[in-house]
Amino acid sequence: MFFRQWDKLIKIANSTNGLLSTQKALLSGIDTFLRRPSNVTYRAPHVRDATDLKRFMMLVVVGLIPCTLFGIWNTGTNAYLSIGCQSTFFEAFLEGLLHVLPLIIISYTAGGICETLFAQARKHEIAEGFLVTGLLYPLICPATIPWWIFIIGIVFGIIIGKEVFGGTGMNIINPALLSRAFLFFAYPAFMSGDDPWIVKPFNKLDDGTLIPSNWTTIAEEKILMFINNTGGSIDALTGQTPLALATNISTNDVNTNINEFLHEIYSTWDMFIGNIPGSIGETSTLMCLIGGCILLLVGVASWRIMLSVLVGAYVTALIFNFVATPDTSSLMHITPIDHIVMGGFAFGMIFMATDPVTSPLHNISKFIYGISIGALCILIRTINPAYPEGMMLSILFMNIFSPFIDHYVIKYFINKRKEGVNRA
Amino acid sequence: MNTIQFNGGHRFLISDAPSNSIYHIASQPIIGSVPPVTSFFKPKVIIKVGDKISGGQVLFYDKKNPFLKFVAPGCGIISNIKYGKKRVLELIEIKTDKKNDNFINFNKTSINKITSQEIVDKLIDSGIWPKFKKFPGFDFVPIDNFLKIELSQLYISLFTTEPHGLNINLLLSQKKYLDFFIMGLKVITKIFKEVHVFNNKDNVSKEINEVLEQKKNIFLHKILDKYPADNIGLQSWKMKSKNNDNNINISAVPFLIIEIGHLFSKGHIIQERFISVSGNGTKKKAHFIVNAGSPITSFVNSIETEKINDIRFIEGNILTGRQISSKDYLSDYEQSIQVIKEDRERIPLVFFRLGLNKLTLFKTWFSGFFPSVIRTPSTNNNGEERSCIQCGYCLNICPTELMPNILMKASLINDIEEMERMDIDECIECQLCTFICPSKIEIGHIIKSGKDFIKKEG
Repeated sequence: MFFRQWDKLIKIANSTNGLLSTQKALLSGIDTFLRRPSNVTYRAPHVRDATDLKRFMMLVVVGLIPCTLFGIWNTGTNAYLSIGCQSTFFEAFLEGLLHVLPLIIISYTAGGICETLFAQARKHEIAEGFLVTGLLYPLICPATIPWWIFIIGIVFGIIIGKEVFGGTGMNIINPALLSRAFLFFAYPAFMSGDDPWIVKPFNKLDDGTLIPSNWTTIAEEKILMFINNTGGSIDALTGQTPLALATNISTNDVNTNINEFLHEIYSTWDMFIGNIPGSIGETSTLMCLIGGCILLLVGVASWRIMLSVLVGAYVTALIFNFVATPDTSSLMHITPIDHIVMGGFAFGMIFMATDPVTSPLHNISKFIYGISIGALCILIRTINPAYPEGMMLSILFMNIFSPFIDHYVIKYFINKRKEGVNRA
Repeated sequence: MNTIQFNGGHRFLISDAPSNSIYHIASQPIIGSVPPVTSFFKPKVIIKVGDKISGGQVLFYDKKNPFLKFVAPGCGIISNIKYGKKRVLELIEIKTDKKNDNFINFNKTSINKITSQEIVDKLIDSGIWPKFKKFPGFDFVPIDNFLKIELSQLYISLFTTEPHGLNINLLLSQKKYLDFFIMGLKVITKIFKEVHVFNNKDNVSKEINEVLEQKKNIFLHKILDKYPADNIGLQSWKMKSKNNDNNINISAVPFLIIEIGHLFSKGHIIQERFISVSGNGTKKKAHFIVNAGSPITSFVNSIETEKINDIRFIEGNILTGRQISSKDYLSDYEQSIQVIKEDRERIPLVFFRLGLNKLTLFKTWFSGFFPSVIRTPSTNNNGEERSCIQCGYCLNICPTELMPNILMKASLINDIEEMERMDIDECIECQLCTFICPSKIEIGHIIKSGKDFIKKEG
């Protein structure tokens, strides 16, 4: 019944020159989203595989669901913690939903409008890549981000990161990451520091019975206690996320251990589970791993990239651990495991680095690409503490280099194939 | 015997296979001769409407290569010569005699005395020569090169991996065909330097084994049983890595050997063809012995549908075959006919479903986890064309380890140097890359257009 009316609408849109005909891209996009297109093959091969890009992208969205749900709960929990009270699971989830759902809706709407306009201008269909970008982007932003900044970010990412190159498949850098990088440098106050990571809860704000203690104060008390006990020191307690905190621990005292400092606030287990402040979707390594398993099971993401990013980061962090002295940057002392569960590493490794469009084609170049991302990430984190979140920058950097890697790897293998044929 | 291994490829398990029963179809009142479909062929017709012809008489030949002769499949009177756009020959219809047994006799000679030059002349005169295919190029075999170099190798496959090709075991289990096949093998070993016979299992029938032992220049190989193991391109690429020779590779289907055997033992060309019919659009999925050039409808009983274009007729297999209509005649270049229902159904919210019965090589659908279950093919495109997202699945499935999507990009910009550097000639046109592409890009056809471009530019 619905489809009968819908068919009529499509027919009118295709036959008239009015307002509807200018929305052909949008209508056909919705149409093919609702139902499989009726087009049949017209020459060999007469049979095609059942999988198309819509299915591909849909499964990435499915892989992102654990992170999204956990992010929603985590946002709510931290909001309650910041005003110093406990919350039940449903309270926290509802609170988080009120903050996160608008961002997801805005992201899809603003990105969708850009995508549709460009599709309309090019007389193409709407490409599916934006299904993923539209969800990835809110998950790597802090929940407190003002909506106008959020919209500027996604519009910039979609247009400059993707559409100017020709749409999904032609882009050289990940549009979601580009959006975030743009906001990171354009509006640093809203994207870094200690403020953005925890939202103020909508409920119970005016409830006089609650103790208006700040989350920062709790952490501060803990650290001060630890300093008193061990004799270490901290320059300034500005950071809320583990990475920022680790950056700001000073290592003047030879006897104190940086890792103990860190673990006093955030234990490795907490960072693995992810109930810590941070961007909406990327705090939980566990949920990223679950999503990663889904992606690997259905064969959408490359295990080569995931594994090599992990290995690259682990080895680099280990090397830094060896060369670290008390005079060097505090992040050099962080153990490899902590590096991996901190910040957006796991999220970037599983969902960002494996984006097929911006990663290299050949299996061997995938290893090179992955190891470079892992190593660069740790390098940026440790050597350049101004940008503690190295994952974003290293992935963007290697996205630009991936055609370069591919060029040489493929050249090598073409020559090898020729030699192999002639020699063996 | 070592099995020849190759990466990529896929073993298709597809429903509605032809059964092993064989039906004989009577002689038809009107038969047709269809010229080969290739852009580099200019036929010169040397008969006209009303001419009385006998079977095996030359109907037309190629202007550039006069040794490519095409002969009448039966005897009778030319009733119609059909031309398409730009006066391209499409079809010659022959009204057959009642008996349909008047064939030109090419004197029988003992194969022990005959020279290789005489054999080749006979194959040219009887119109069998154009049925050999050269690789690279899947083209006609040039006669001058052949006689000068004499490095040619013939490839024969005693099995098929194509989704619903002809059952060659069934063909060779027929006593009379096996005899012709043995005879044919003996003839071709005299003209080709080496003959490579490929099989998917260790043992061949006793009679063939005898020939293998007698002749020195015939070799048996065993190859992995998955599509496209019976493709000459793959086989010659695998042999090239062993031999280090730049040979001319020529392929022949087993029925062509039977035709040659028939020519040399009976003295005239064979009138019968052995055809398999399969697919969910036909009632009788079986093998047929029909006369050459018979109309398709004489042996295909397609199911009844509301519209005529709800059924698709394909000559060849479902991956590389050519679409024909039910009014067409049986051509000499393929051994199987697929009749498939068109699938235009608009399934709502298809990509939210589990996908329990999908023909897929991905694990994105639930059925992808059960590769050993037989699936029904559908002609639906399953999506719209998008730009390449570099998923790399075409690289993994390519049986000759080419890089289809890079070749595709080189072909799109007509970069001849890049194409040749990437060994575009070794593309075996198996169409697996087009089949698997989730962006629904016709990679195979784009690469083919690149090959044609190189050929045109010389």
